[in-house]
Amino acid sequence: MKDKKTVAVWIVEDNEWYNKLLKHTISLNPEYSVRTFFNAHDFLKELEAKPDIVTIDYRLPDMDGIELLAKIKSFDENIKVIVISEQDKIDTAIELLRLGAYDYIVKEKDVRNRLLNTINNAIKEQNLVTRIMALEQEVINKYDLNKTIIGASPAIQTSLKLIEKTLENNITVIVTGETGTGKEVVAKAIHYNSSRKHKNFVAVNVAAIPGELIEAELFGHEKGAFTGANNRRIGKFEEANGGTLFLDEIGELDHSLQAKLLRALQEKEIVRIGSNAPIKFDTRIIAATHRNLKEEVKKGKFREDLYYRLMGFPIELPPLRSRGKDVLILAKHFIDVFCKENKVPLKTLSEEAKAKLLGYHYPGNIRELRSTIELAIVIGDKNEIMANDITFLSDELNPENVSDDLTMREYELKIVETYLKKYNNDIKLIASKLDIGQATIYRMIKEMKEKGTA
Amino acid sequence: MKPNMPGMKISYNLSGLDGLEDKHDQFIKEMIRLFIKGTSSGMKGMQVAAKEKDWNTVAEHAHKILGPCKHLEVMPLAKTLRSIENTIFDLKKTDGIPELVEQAEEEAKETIKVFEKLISE
Repeated sequence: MKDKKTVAVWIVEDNEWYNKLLKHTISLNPEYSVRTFFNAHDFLKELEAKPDIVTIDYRLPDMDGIELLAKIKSFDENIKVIVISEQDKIDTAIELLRLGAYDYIVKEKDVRNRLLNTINNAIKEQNLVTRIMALEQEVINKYDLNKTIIGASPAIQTSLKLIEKTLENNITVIVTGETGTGKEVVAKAIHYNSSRKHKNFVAVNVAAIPGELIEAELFGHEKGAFTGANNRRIGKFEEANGGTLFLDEIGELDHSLQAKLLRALQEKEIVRIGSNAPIKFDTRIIAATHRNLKEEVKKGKFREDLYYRLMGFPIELPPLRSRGKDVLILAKHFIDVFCKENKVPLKTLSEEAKAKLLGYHYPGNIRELRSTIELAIVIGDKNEIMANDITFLSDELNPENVSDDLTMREYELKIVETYLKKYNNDIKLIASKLDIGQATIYRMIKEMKEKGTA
Repeated sequence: MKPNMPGMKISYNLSGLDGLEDKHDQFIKEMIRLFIKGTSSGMKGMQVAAKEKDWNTVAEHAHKILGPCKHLEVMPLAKTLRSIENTIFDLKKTDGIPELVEQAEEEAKETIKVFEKLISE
């Protein structure tokens, strides 16, 4: 069903009177091209021409409806088959629908209206499917490895080689790296370049969901399982069935839930809250953390058995500061994307701007570079981005914050602390200002509390 | 009711052929002509099969004629054809089928007469 003008509707009906009636009815719409057949044999000979919709009489002289339906479906599952029958037997209708018939219409007085409605619905549905498939392909193309993992440095090329090794299998992957190094991008790239690409990619940020809700979020719940559970709800494991579940910030998972997650991963089944029935799932797991999980195990904060279960295939993403001239390759990529998306003339980087970009340490990694570039494009008046168009986040810091001899992480925490004060703890606003996830901010607040700095 | 008895009333309803298209009358006439053609040949086939006591074929013919009859609400022919089909296919019986075939034959003749008159007007 390419477009409405080329919808090919074929009729297989041995009764000459009905054949004529159906042909006349469908031909009333000039957007449909109609062909008629009086038996299954003649119709099947022409099937290579691939009609969009076929109406078949349930009782043909040379074949019954079930057999003909099966032959059509085995030839091309996408052909919509409408069975038209004298019989108004429910079990026959159910059987035909189960076997893939699009609809079952009884030869009654309103057969013409019903048929036109059904064809119309079939076309709408097919157009939606076509659109979804096109969008899906767009997403798959977007996450093409060459377009996603950008950079020529040995560090990122090593990561790329590791990523490629995960595409042909279902091994559990754990992606580690500093904030902003692209852990979720890598997870999506693995999913959309694997055989699971046509199924769901479901991301859960473990740190962003309150502890008391995470179990229901992951495993789902039955109606009435707890106060507020007004309906049955499937969890992320079920939602990602056949696809990939990305568990971001896995290191933040509550210790008591780690055991339940381990059980789910080992048994490949989950149990919804409020139910006793285990549900099998076929979901690839990709986890990510900015923490050193081994250290967390040593500290007793992360279960050792879960650690080993997750460490199927570790991929460490390098910080941007260790990627040398990748900064310029990425900067050019972000310029291209931003200018294209915002329909502004393509800009280039001046030599001074390049030097400035290369001389910075990027505590926020690629995410920070992207924001810096986007801001520079907007600020700059020329077609060339100049050095003074580039403003780094750390340039705006209170000198008091950067005068101490702190680690990079401590500086990050300072930045967040400064913003919390400045914007009166408005997490959403701060997340937007810093271009980081709200979950990251919550996680940093938690870290500050643990260190006694907040 | 004996079909050839005086008082047999043929009823029908052509609203199932209603449409908004041009040349609508022409379409209705064409469909009635096809109905006459299909009913005549179907009845002939049914009689031959009944003589040979080929009841399955009798039911097949009844089934084939019944579709248009139901659509046009042609009574009493539709009812008789339904009885033939149900008795043979669903009840797996043949008792009374020759009589029903005879009755259908008479009803079909009367119906065809009515329809021929209708398209000649």
